[in-house]
Amino acid sequence: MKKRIGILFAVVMAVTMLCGISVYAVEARYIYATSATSTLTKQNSSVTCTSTAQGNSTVTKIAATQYLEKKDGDNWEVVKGCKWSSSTESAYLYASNSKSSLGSGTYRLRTVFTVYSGTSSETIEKTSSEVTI
Amino acid sequence: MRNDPSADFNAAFKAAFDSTVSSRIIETVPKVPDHEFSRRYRRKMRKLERRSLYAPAYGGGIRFDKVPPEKGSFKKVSLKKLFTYALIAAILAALTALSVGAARDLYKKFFMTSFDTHTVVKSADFENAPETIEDVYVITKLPEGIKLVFENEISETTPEAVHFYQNDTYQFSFAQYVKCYHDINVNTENNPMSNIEINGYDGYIIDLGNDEYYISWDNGEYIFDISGNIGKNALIELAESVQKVEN
Repeated sequence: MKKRIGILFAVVMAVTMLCGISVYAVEARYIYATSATSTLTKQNSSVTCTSTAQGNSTVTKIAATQYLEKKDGDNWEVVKGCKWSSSTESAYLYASNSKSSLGSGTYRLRTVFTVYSGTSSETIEKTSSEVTI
Repeated sequence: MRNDPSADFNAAFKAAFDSTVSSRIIETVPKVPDHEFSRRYRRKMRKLERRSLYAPAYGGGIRFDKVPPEKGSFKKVSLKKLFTYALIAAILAALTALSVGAARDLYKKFFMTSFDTHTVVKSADFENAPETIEDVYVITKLPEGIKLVFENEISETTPEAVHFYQNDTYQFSFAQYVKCYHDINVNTENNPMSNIEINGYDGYIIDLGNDEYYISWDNGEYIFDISGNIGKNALIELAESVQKVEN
């Protein structure tokens, strides 16, 4: 019994440590960014990809890359020709792109923002709700 | 009474066997020390003995049959085991909280999921709200010297109307969101969030530090937010000046 408890405890501790590592590996920081959105809206077989990000008053530049992704089994794949990049030399970024004649399936918009404050920067990611066509 | 001759013979034969063959057989058995049971075996035996003491419901502790224990009887658990179980349960509960990765709070009009670095905010009530930007709202009392530097175009699929204002010192944004699409990450990393009312409508305010604030509220039709470095009171005044543009 003690041996089993020991093994269980070791497994729990290992999982806890792994969770902690993964959190720090994936989680972005919000030092300069105030808010971020990534929204996918549809109209028939067309979608509009809208992303916004706002930084605090120290922000000098915001860059964004939008990825329109389609679900393929358990994976998400970027739709061909649906990666858009934009940037602004201010603390507010607005990006909007459209794609028409999409095939049936489930889509989402993933936006990766890089928010600059002088020579420092942070990267945050925002993914939209899923949209089915 | 007559003696049985075969019985006499058997007795005589047994006596002869015991005095000769039996002793010889015993002499052939090598002398070995008494058997020492292993620690593991002794530990298991002790456990079995303890069970027989503490679990009378199972017929002396060791359950040899499949008869269920009587109603009301239970197996005693030692304090040590109880503590171990409680510790495991606490660790598993903490792990569950970590794996979920979010503590959910519910403001009246918003559905919020909090993370270490930010909070994801969505509308909690959008059933009867417009699904497009049908009516446009604007700030009606702009501070002097502030200029509108960006405004997006509105179409049927635009989920939000955004405005960004700036001068040499101050900057702030104002946005109007279609409620069903509202899904925003706001910076709550070390930044306190609290309730606020804007013109009687429920909302929340985040203190971003350095006299910068983020305010968001829901007027029933749309969700709005306003954020900038013009100070809390000035930002609240701007928010309260927001009105629908009459066509």
